[in-house]
Amino acid sequence: MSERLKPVWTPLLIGVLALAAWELLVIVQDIKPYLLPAPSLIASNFFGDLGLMSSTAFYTGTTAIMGLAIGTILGIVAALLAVRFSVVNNLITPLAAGLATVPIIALTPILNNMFNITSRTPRVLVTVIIVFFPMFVNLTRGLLQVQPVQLELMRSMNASPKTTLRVLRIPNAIPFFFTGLKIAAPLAVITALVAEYFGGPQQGLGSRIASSAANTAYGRAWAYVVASIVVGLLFYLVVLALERWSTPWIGHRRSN
Amino acid sequence: MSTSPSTTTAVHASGVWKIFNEGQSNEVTALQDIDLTVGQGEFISLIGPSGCGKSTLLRVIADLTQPTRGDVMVAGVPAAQAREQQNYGMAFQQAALFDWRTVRRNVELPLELQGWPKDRRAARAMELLEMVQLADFATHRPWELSGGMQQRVAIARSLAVDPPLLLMDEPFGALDEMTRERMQNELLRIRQETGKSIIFVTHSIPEAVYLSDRVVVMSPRPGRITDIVPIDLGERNEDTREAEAFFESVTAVREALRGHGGGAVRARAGEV
Amino acid sequence: MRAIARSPWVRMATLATVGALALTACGGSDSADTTAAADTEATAAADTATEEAPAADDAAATTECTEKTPVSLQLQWFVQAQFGGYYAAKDKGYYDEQCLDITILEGGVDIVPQTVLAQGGADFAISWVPKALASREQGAGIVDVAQVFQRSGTLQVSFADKGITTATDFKGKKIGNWGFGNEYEVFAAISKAGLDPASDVENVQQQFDMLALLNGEIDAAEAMTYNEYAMVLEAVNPDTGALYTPEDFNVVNYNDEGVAMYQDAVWASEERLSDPAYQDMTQRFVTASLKGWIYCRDNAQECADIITANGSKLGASHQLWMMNEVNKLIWPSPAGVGMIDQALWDQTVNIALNTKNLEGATIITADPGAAAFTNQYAEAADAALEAEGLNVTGDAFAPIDVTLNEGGN
Repeated sequence: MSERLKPVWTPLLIGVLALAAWELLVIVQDIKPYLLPAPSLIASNFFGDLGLMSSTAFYTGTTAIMGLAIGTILGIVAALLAVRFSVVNNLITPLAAGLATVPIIALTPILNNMFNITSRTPRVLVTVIIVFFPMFVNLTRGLLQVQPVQLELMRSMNASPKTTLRVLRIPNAIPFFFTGLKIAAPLAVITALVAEYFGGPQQGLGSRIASSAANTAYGRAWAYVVASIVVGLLFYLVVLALERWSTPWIGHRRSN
Repeated sequence: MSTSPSTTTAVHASGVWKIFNEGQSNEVTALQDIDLTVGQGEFISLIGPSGCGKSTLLRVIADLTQPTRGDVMVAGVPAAQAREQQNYGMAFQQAALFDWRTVRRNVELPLELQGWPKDRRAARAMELLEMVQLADFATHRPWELSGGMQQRVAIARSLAVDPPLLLMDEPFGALDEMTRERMQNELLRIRQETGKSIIFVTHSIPEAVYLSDRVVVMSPRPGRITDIVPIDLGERNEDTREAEAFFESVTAVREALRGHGGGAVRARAGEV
Repeated sequence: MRAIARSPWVRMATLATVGALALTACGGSDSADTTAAADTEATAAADTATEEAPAADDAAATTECTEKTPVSLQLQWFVQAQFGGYYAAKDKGYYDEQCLDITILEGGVDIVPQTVLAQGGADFAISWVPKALASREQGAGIVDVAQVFQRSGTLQVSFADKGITTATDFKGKKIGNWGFGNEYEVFAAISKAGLDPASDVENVQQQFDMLALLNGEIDAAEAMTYNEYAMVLEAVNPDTGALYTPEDFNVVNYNDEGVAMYQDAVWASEERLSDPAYQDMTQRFVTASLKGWIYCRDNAQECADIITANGSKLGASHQLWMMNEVNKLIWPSPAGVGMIDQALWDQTVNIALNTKNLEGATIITADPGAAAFTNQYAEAADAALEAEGLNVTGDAFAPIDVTLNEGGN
């Protein structure tokens, strides 16, 4: 038996023990499914129809990706404008902050009524709005937070603001981009899911969780929750991998 | 010896004042009536306590900031034009290398901005890295290098466009003593090979003495030149730091810093 | 972090935490047993230890009441005429007559009434039969003791020009449903019409308004006769500037389609029904409640006013419409108000068992059996009320004419 548990084994072990305790509790206390489903029930619902789980997850995941992509592009454009025109920064930041605090559950019905409820559009829009703020804030910070000595260096090399943007600010902003993305990606999944509670096509995780819960089928509802966790984790891990690949210096002390 | 300043003078600052927050309650006179002439191929150190204006003066010469009064000519043209023409290279206390570029591409940076084609850039960069003895690290990343090595890369970068003048703001300040001495020798060697003029800001008296032809002593509030100490140590070698003349010069500078120096500003135009 | 995670203390703490959390979840079951029956003569009379129905004259509260028994009822939604009978019974003192001190708990979006009942948060609950049966299958011990609504009030509403008059016309159209478990009648109708819900119909989940229909985004919307249908009739037709009229719409009635399921019913706790005191309470509660519904049948406007006085935010004309439509769902009750018809029960169970939604899930997977409902309380209540001289079948019931105003005011 290895004395040094690898870092990944320990949380896994705790997770397994927690699940076992949960299962034991349900059995020993005879807790009925309408109160608390056992992990075994959830597992049988999840693995019992993996095709359904994955198609449902795929639907919501697609909404999330579309919202994430559009929100990120808008964030990039706004950040570039904010760097170029400080008045833009002063305008957008409070606006974006305000929008970000409006809860999804308030935004979605409004957008459902403004746009065609039978399409994906309202849900994608909510996701875009929620994703925009972290992306914009982090990107702007990344573009602006360059070291004074680096700016002096650029000036000493007779670089124009445009050149400085291209050569210094944008590469400098890439780690910040990923910081924003690591927040925005799981957020996009959550938003896409919650937005499905309020009407529209019903093939997604949010709709099905709500429907199952309303029918007291909590085993199935939790199985869909597991699927959402998988989707959220997937998004996050992809971003993490992209970050590692594009900014290898992150783990090391910066050279200055 | 009358020599026309434009051909043999690297830098000519006359009547330079720099006042921050002029007219306000927190007005600071960082530079007061600075007159300084640096000859072609000269190595000048600026030394003084905090607030004496040495870094400010360097930045005025570099046209990173404009003087409130007075003018600065670099290689016979106004400082701003000199910057646009890339007549000087600059190095700072932090190497300020870009982590997302390889060592070689960091050195290429000034050439990229000048629009040099790819091959020429790469060749020149390798040449420079050879000069600082870091050619083997061309494809490494900055964070893989030690502090001293990063500074060598920064110096290589400052030499990229082959400017006649180097401006250096305490480039060895963050390094340990042994590395520092090595870097000083490196710098002298490069200077000997290229014949460039160098203006060097430092806090360290031995460093100023070891490197310079003249040491410009400054004092604060208001920032001004109080003394210029000529250094006559001949060619530097490993014995120089232990020579009697070295210690005498160090003492002279120290006294000047304390304000007990000769008093009169001994500025000699055009002398090397 | 590794060192901490390896500590056995952390593992024990994790187990303890999970255990504590779960215990609090199921700890509520005993909290509602505060209805310690006072020593009233009414309970003394219910000393039949078996589950036989108490004698008829016990249900008629002619006995003296020294201390009223507290009773709570969990509604399925917010205060509205859909629950008129209970508020009328409270207002008119029918619960007092039965020596009951009633508390009516409003429902809401996140409140599942049958779960509240099963966990002891209320003594009785109103719930639709299919959802209640689903909970029952998942372990909630509940029994249908009075089937108040005799007919389903679910419609599919569409603009007349779409020509949707029966479920077969759903083919190729955008059909709305509310989701949240309310979609099964729609799916049952689609299947019964020989269509495949997944491919022959575009299913869209509606919000709880009729805007998607009025905006033309969906072709037919799910609606309750007593609520959402009124919403469209309270909206202004942009073409005429006046309110929409019934002629502007077609409705598909799921009773007519033969896929109706039982809706509002009174549910009681199965476990407590073995306790004579609770049986007695159930009987008294059912009697008073049904009496309240009789009142609302004969005094629709007054009933609507009682609802408004109890805090309902709905407009006056909408409230009256709702009261009237709800009456139509209850009356006539040929076997007596609150009685369950076996055929319609079987239809309900059948649809719940066999109709699949888009996930392929059905409401229940096994027949709930006869223990899921009982007619004994409704039967005894009807007998008692008839003895008081009230009409319990509503055979002569005629709905009134209600004029809706814009916005339901």
